[in-house]
Amino acid sequence: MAERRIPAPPGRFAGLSPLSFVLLVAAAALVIASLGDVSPSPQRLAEGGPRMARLVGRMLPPDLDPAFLARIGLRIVETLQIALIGTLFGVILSFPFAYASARGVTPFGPFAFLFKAVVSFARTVPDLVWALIFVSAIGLGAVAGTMTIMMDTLGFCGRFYAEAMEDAEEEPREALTAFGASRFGVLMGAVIPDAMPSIIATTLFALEKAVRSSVVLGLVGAGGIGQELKTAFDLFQYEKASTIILAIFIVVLGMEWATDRLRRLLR
Amino acid sequence: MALDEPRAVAAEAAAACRLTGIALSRGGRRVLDGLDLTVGAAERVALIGPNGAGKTSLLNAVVGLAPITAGRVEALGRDLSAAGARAAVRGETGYVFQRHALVKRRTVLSNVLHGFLHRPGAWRAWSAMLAPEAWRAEAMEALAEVGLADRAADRADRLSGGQAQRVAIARALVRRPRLVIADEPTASLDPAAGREVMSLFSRIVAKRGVALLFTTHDMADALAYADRVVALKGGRIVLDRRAAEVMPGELEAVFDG
Repeated sequence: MAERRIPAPPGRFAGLSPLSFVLLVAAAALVIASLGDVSPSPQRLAEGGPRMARLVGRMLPPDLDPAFLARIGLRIVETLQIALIGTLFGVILSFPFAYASARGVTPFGPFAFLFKAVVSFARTVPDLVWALIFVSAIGLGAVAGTMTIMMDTLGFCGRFYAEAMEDAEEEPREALTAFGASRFGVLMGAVIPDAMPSIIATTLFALEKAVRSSVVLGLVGAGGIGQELKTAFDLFQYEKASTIILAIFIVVLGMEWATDRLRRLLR
Repeated sequence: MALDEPRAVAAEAAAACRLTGIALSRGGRRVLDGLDLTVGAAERVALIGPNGAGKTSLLNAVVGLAPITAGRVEALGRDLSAAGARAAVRGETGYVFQRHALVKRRTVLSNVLHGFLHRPGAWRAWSAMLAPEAWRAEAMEALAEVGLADRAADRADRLSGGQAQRVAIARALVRRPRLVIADEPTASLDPAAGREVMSLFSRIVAKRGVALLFTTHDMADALAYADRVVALKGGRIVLDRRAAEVMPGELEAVFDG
């Protein structure tokens, strides 16, 4: 029997190529330089603390005037309506885009990337920018907010619906194709049923996300509770602002709780 | 079940499929190499051979799922290279896969109804909710034939492997095919379930007078459930015998060397 020699273990930094070493150093330099440029200095923090405390002091107690609360309540309802209808339209719009862009499912072959690009564009433009665009295009108010949420949802659901469709089981798809089903038949018969749990989960996340972003859309005039918040800050009515912030907190928390429950129910 | 559809001219009825000198390459490798094979109208043919011998490619070639590079495929009296022939042939063919290939989250009945996806108004076969009463009745009949009518409302992922494969058979049969193709229908099953599925399958096919072309790695299955055994190796036919005339050890010899 031949003598077996155990080779020495690989060097400690054998996995680190010169290139990755250079990149690592560059990244560290970037972080350190940025720290100096934009992070709060100890002095600023020291000054900011008491000012923050003063602001909080002026916010208390929250304004609980019934007439004001009623107006806030109506605005909250409007905010939820923006989120709900925006998500609904976004979901409806997402299905054709997901179908057209999902690998192995799309009927557009090499042109599928065009649809994927539209979805990416909808996603990469931030919601406040969409809101500014729609406020300029169709005017101040809730409709601009709804359109914004729709684009936001398209960017989110369009992508994850497509991924769910791509991940649908291969075998039933092939089976239905062998049976002479059309592409659309395969989609409806095999792909969507298989992707459904993932599609539902994505939709619930989209709704949650929509509530959160519809809250701030009012800052740029696209309707909802954010408008009240902006007005309160602009007029230095900090007691009203704190009521609104509390209301937002409750709504977003409630929404997360509700979608969590729904997700658990549907599992 | 009565053969209620008028069968086409006698000449065509003579063969379920006729392959002449077909060749097929995949990824630069010759998978089928000048192969001739004729399957009779009510004949059950077992295809055997080592992995990579070209069995699955041959099955796919019969219904035009794998494009051939040479030769001629005639199935159910139609030349597959003719316009529209593939769709027509697939419409009269039942396919059973190695793994049952059911849609797991749908009911057993919905899965059987998928067999109708080639028909006009196919959208009604997407799910049992949409299907017309006549289709639902036909699907139930097919399920009864494989002994699973009582599971129609269950989700497909609640079935055992053998039951799932029986549903896949019902899905193939509901199409009233003239040719059934099965790619290792028992490969994912334990031996007992495999025998049960195969004997049921072969019995129904024989009763309906339908041609069956199936691949298997089980020599006993090949001999028990086929009228004829064809062995492939390196993309060619190396043995073609009536099952009754196969000598002991002859099939095993195909896998040697």
